[in-house]
Amino acid sequence: MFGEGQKVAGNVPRLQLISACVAVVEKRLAGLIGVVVFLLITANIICRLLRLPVFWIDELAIYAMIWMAFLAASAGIQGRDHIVVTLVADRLSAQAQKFLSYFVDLVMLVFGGILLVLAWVWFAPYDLIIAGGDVTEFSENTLNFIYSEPTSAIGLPKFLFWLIMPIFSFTICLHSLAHLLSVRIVNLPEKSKVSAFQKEGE
Amino acid sequence: ASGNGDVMRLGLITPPPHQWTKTATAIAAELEKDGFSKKLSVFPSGQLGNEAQMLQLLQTGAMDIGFFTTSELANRLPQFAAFYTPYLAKDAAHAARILSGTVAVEILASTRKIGLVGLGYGMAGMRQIVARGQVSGYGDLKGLKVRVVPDAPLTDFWYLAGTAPTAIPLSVLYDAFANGQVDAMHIDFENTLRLKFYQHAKSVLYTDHMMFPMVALASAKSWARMSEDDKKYLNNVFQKHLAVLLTSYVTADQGFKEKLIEEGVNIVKVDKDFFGDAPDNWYDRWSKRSPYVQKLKEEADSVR
Amino acid sequence: MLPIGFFLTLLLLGVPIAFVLVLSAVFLVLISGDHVLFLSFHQQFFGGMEQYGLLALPLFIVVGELMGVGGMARRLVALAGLFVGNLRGGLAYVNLLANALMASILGSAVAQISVMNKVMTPEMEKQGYTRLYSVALTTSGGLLAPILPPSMLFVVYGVLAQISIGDMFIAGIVPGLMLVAGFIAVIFILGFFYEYPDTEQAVRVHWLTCLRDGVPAVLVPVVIVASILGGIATPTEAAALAGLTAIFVGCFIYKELTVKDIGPVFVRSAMTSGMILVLIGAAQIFGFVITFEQIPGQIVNWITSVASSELQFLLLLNLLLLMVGMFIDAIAALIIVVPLLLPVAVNVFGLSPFHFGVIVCLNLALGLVTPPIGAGLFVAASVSGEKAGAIAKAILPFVAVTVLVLLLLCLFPALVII
Ligand code: NA
Ligand code: NA
Repeated sequence: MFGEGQKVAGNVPRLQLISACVAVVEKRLAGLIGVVVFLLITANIICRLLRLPVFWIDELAIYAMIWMAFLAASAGIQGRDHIVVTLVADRLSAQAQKFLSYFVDLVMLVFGGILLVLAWVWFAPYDLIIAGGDVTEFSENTLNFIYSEPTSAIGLPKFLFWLIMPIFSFTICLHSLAHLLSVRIVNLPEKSKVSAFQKEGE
Repeated sequence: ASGNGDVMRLGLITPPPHQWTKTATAIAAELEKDGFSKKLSVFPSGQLGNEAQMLQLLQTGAMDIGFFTTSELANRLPQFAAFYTPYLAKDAAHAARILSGTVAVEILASTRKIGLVGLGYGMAGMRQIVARGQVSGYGDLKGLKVRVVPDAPLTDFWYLAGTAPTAIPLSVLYDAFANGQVDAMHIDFENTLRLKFYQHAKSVLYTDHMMFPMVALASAKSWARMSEDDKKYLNNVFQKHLAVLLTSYVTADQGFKEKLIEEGVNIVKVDKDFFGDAPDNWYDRWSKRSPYVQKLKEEADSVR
Repeated sequence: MLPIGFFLTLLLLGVPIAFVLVLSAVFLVLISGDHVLFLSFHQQFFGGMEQYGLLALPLFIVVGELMGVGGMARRLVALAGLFVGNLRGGLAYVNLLANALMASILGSAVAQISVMNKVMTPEMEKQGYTRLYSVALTTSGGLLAPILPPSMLFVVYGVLAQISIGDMFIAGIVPGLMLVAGFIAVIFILGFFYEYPDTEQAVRVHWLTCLRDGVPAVLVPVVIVASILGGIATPTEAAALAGLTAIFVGCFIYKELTVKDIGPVFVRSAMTSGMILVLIGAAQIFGFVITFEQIPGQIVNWITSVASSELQFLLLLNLLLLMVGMFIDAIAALIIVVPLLLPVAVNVFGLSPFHFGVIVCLNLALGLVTPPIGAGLFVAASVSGEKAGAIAKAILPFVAVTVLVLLLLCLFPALVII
């Protein structure tokens, strides 16, 4: 699947390869969810024209869009596609730019770490196990109502949709750690980026 | 909140000119006048988030107090479905009496289960129907797309009435109504007037078919941090101002109706038969889901 | 001062802007001591994107992509070229008029900037305009979206201020036309500095061919307008219908679009819109934390202590909003600013809520295209491949005209007619 990736695989830390693979999956999934959003909105028009409006379609479309956005944003970290201010970097030497990029990756890793800790506190999986998976008991013990929060129209618990947050927090860590570890290997980030993009164009 | 012990935050979704926001700022002014140990900061217009987000802020203790519609609560606590009983209140004055009764207080106490402390009720105007086309009698509603807020008891009522309940956010409702993405809406005279929905309506039906309570809630976490004296004091101040809010809507609701008539809107009064079996069917179904539906109905009939 | 320093340092060192916003929010919470806010962080981030209106963004980006890939954009431009004949810089005027037209369809400046850049920029480049000029012109055209009705900003403002949205739309017409006139003047003057190609040289195809080829492409905008006005669809849904139309025209009439193209179109659109949506979610957290810490209220107190006349207030307001618009997404900013400033504007300085609304919305729209943060700039940059900083510079003449229109609106409230 990753022709380009395999060629360099010998001298690449495994993490780098995993990060690139995850990014490709994220992109394709984001595109697929984009199609789903498109179809949901179309279905909404048709249902309403038939005077059979389904009132949860909008809500589902919004949640789908949010999953699409976070998956794309995560892949964007791996591909360095995010919107950045290059005012300073443009005026630096190649060596200094490399150092700066190392710093940015470090900030991103710390950021991902913070989000991951906050997601752990919020989802409190340990307390849920202590409560034996009983949501009522969990809420009484912790005064945390994440598992009893409903969606307003769909009728599913909302934490199912919120799951993208811990996933996103984790993949930020993965992608930025992979960037950090690859910093001494010349040109590697560019190559992994190219391989990820080439697959998409095929 | 933990870091700023001397500030209490009150969040609500209505904008500054709205009666609910005015009540909140009046309470804040009274606390300041009385020299209460904490300052009450009011965050109107959903500045701290929508109702679902604000409920969560109350639960974590980040926000201290909030004014809510029953919509988010009804999705979490079946007790609140009782307020959606069609024709429970005959008019705004009756609604105010129901909200001051003992059953309403019991329903409010159920919010303890989700980490909240009930401070009391306010309300907005009785619900009416505003429709794009000619709607005058039973049967005309069938198949219409009616804009509702998506909570289970309300949506169910509109299904039973033979309509297609449609969820459209208030912010885009004017356009959706003007263009015909919805045919009708379940709304009060106040918004009909303020947001000028009547401009695109052939029918404004004076149904008074449902009441619309507002619930004032405190965070159980920040409540627990307060002294008994402070709790008692705050309870009194809120009770006093909420009582004023309740009675103000009795006259205000009539005032908005009269202003609409001044604007040349033809308001047609229809009675319960307009909805056919829907009110009774709703009652049969929901009284099985929560005993409070029947309890509240009995009390409402006793203060009619 | 400390949070501002933290923010600017991360920003200038090249940390992605969305994450600078979230990290700054983290920093603010840490120094305020309100650690309980951390329990709501993920919910606020997620909730910042939980808005029906935002669905228009990915959908319109898909439409723009499909129109480009499916050959509709090229033919539409050729068709529009017929109407300006061989006027020097013809396509630049076509671009502006197309933007003015779109502005009365789309409510969102960001959506408009992305669609129009996808459609117009490659065509202008083909005809010999520099890419940077093309992007700057097209992006400034996006400033019309929130002012010429309909407008998502006006809708949100109308709800916040509890005034008629219909009247708010009417209030936007005169200021919108002033902007159009100002932009035409800028294009004309810039013609002395840039070598505009003649339209005639570029369009060598016979006019009849142009017309015949162009008509099916016109279906896309027609579907958007007709479905909204006909009551079939909301503006968001109209984007989905336009997308279906674009697929139909591209696959069956022009036969330039194949099923294999559609996958990559959606992947590219998901990537472009994903970055922007996450930026909007991040702006929400940032806005939430500064609101919670009551920073905007302190600024209001400062304004009322400094300003003593209506005009002074308006000038300060402009300065303040331009700064707010730099950092916070327009709708998020509206939700923070209006409840604070509207009572001051109306009760203290006696402004009409419509006049105030037009000024606030135009300022915040301007914030979309001014550095260092502007969703409009970023969309234009990611669609065109030009650097956001370079676009920000090239767009300056248009920004200057917009500021001029703003000043006129402040001096002459009668320009806002309802
Ligand atoms: Na517009
Ligand atoms: Na800006």
